[in-house]
Amino acid sequence: MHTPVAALAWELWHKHRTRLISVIGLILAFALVYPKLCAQAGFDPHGSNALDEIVKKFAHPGVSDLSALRVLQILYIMFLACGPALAMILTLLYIMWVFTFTEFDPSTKDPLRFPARLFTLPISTPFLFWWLWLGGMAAVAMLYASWVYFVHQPYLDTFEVYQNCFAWMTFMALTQGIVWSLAAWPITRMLLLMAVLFGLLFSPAQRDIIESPFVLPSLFVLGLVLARVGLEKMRHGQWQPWIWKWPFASMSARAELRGPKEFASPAQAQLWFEWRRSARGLCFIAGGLALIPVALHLLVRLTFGLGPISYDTLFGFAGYLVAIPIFLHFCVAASPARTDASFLMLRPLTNGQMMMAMLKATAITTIFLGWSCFCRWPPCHCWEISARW
Amino acid sequence: MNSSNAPHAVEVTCLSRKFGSKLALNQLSLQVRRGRVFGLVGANGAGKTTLIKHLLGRLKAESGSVRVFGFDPVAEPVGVLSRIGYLSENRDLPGWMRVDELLRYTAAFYPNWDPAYAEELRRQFNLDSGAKIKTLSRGENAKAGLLIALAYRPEMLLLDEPSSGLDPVVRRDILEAIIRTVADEGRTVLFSSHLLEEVERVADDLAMMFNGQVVLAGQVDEVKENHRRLVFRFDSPQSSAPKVPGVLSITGGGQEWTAICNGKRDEAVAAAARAGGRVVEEGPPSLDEIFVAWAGAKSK
Repeated sequence: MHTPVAALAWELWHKHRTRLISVIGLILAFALVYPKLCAQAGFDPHGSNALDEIVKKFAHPGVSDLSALRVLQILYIMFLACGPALAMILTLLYIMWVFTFTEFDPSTKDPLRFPARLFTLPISTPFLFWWLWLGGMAAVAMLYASWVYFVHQPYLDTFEVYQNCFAWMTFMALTQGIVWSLAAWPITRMLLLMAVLFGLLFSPAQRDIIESPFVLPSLFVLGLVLARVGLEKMRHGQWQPWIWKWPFASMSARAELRGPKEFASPAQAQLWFEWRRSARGLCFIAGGLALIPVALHLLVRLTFGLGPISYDTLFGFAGYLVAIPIFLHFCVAASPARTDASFLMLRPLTNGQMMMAMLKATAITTIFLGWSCFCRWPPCHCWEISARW
Repeated sequence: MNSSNAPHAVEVTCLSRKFGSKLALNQLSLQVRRGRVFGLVGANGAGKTTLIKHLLGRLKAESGSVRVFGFDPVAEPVGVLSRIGYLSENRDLPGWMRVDELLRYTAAFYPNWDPAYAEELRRQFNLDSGAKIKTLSRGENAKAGLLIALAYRPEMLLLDEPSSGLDPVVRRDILEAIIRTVADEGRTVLFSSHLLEEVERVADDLAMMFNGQVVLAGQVDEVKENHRRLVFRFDSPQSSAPKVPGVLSITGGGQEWTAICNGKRDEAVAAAARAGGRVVEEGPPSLDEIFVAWAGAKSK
């Protein structure tokens, strides 16, 4: 470690070495073991109709029972068919996160905090940017090449879109751009990252967009510019978070003038606490998550004159809108222990009262979430019908 | 001007900074002479950390200018940061590194890194070279931060609340000794602190900040000499604080009131005499008393 380049490379390697070794191990395992598993199953991944072959091999017409063995067989088929492609996607997503150079901040619970200590080292912003950007691009290209050249994947029409190194590099550039330029706005950053991820995962259904000669290069350049400007602005604290005012702030201020509002019972106060703690924010996040991908999709279609939405895409949107509330509730439930747990434990409430307050808040949120997601559906559908007509 | 010939280590002119609607720095001007120990004091939210972030180039001046050794920290971060040893308030160190790895890693960025000195400091601080940063106590974390800030003998040591998390023994025996050593070698030290006795013991110069402005700046001895602590005894008990022009603050009750005045001692004594009061005790106030008096005067 005699130069900043080497020191930063060492930091990156040392911080992620276990997982990076796992990625290498995964590629090796797929390169060495996967062909043997295919051979054992009598499945030729290079065949033109490999998937049909393997499905026929495991399908037993007339048998409708779902025994444990059968479930395992189906899972095995799915693994042989999609395993390499899914592993490739996950490892590429992981490497993108590595090259955003972010880490979890336990004090703010921000999973994508860029370490401020790097800005106190005597290295220039262009150096830091190009190191991370070129390193990220090289890592994506190398990882992609490793998967393509060492692992023989069965041909699947669905995954064909992912067999495009430039698309992955564009996704890398966009990820760095969003993470760095929106460091001061974590919720907006999360929404945009979700929208971009949504675009990537649903890209097989939007092949016409991905294959357009303008879309990927434009997004690549956009990501590059955002990342460069974002890192510079983040270093000098030029983009500060907006202090967003609650739309009914004036009404609450009037309420405060009248004196503090009294709750009718401890249970009601607890319900307010649960709602205020996370439920209210969840509704806004769900609204944003539902709005941004749909709006972006429509915008891209209109901009590039790509015609009406296909039924597949509409179906994809419907699935996405249904998944949002479930996903958000899962995230909240799985999030790290809240710092206010000890504060709650000191309240003179029974476990039942606390649980009831949580359930009520969840019920209210679910209704709002469902409403905020599905109100996007009719305009989207109407637009599609009118476009077809 | 050549940076190495710049007369001041730090020169801040009319610096302003807003966060939303809150004015964090308000037309702040400050100069830190080379080779001096400069203490920056102020209440929470006074703007000390914001000012330090400007010196590091972590914040860009919205208006006004910032020069460190003649360089603009935003335009020339490498020129500035290679001359500064910085210890952050929240000890922003990578928890997964071991102490020896942290030293080797940081050394790569500084050509002047002195491995022998780093090792000497590590032993002095009693830090286990194999220990992971995340397993260190708060005090040990501060020592590790201080170690990497010192080991390349920077031209200026910039310490943001260095005492935070350190016990009194470490504070006196290590931190203050290091600050004095650095200063004796002709290098500059700028540190922010809440602990006014510490500033009084260590600093040559100080600046008191209040609401984003420097309300008082100068040499510590001069500042103390310019202020007087007067105890007045009035003929009759006073129901509220007597109005004595020329004093920064007046506290007490009944017949006895204590005033802190700033260079207007005679005016204050005369005014008190007109109200039936006489000076029964007089002496130099502590820095703590001066700070409280200025903070009270400015918040009125």
